[in-house]
Amino acid sequence: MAARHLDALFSEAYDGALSNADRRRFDDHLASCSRCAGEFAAFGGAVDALRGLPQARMPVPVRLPSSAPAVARRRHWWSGAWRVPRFGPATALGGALAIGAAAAFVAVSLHNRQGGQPNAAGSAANALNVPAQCCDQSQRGPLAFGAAPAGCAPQTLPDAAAAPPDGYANRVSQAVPGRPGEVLVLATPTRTYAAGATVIVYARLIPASTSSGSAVLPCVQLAPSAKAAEGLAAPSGAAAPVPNNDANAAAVATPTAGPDGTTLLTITLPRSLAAGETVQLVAYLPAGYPDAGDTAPISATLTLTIAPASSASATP
Amino acid sequence: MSVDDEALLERARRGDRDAFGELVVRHQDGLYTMALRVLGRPEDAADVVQETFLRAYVNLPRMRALSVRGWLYRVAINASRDVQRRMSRRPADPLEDTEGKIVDLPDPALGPEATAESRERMAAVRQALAGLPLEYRSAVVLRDVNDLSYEEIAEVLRVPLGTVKSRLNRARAQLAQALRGSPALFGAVEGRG
Repeated sequence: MAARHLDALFSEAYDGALSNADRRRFDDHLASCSRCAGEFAAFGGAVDALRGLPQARMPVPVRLPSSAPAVARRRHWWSGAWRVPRFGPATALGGALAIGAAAAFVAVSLHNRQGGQPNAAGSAANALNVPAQCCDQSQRGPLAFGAAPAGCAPQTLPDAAAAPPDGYANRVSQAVPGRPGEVLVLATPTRTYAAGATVIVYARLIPASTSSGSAVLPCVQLAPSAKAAEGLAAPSGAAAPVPNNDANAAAVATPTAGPDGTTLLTITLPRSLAAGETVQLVAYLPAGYPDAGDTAPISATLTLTIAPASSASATP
Repeated sequence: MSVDDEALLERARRGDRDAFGELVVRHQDGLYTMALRVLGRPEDAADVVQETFLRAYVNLPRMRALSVRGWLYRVAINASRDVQRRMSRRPADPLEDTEGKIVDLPDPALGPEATAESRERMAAVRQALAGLPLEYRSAVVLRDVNDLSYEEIAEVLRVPLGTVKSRLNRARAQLAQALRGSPALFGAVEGRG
């Protein structure tokens, strides 16, 4: 009776999508064909295994133009990037630059919305509340931070008391509005680096009370000035998730163990920078960063100067 | 489920950012999981979701015919294809082994409570999935990860229903072949029983 095997029907049989006649034929066949019965069991097991994978959660906030949806189209701010979608940390910033600074981008404050509050007034205010420090950052395009790799999302660290390692003289501290005593600190050993140098960066949101035992590691990247758009820092110790897309200039984060177990970041400056140029290193925490409720995003900026390769003091 | 997607879409089209934000909240995890299973790399998947919502946002006035969900998945599948194309051009990547398969990265969907066994099982499934051609992988992920119907998949992929069925059947058969004898299979069969 088992003239032809019925592998072609496995999928619809699994989904219960066979017609009654086909289902009868299928069942009859499997009853008499041990080969098909075995294959179908394996088939079902594999599909079950795939279906058993858990759902993942989007790790970074989705960023949208601050303009209203209908307005966004008329502005044509998207035109360049639409045809040539750019992804990945290195190219994303380039794509963002192509778009220009026409529109400000804001993160949808998802965590505030998940309660499903029908009254939108509060969340609207949050979503549009981008403080000045971050606006020029946001204006650089939709992917400036949205494209940050999962590893670049702010992390809570156990080293609340940590300060920049000794000798990190180039530093900036940004007070957090509305949260007295909290500071966002960004520091590098020196201000001057050669193009292509790897910079070791200390970045931390330090809480008002160090007794809480935790600090937050912000996302750090080079502000995408025209020639400096390729860099992106990832936490030391994490699997470096940043692909090297561009052999000439792409910055790749590499793990570095800081002194006393301090978590540091590394970032490589683009080789295309000329001596005398400056680049901005930006530490950024999105709205609602860890343990901060619905706090607005904050950022701190540090300037690095490019020196001739011979005289720059690049960290190894 | 007080307001359906289509009502939110209408509000978004009239300029209501919050309505669009609600669509983001509803669909981002499903889209992210889809892209993660199709592409394998968390950062690529996050890029795809970001890209999808941006494309959706600026194309709201032109969106027709499909359900909101189908439309978003179509945009996301297209964005995933773009990423895949770029990946295939990419030179050596430290995260990939010599066969171009993704080395076992921690899966963001897996919580810290996951056992070694479940991790192993998941890794086997992901590896098997990565071995499928993109068109098969897209079809099987839409069906078995996101639970889209055959008809929805046909709309998302813009292919006839018959093509969806045959791709799905081949994709699942190849998956079964790749998982033959693997603990992934046994675990799932036990769990099912």
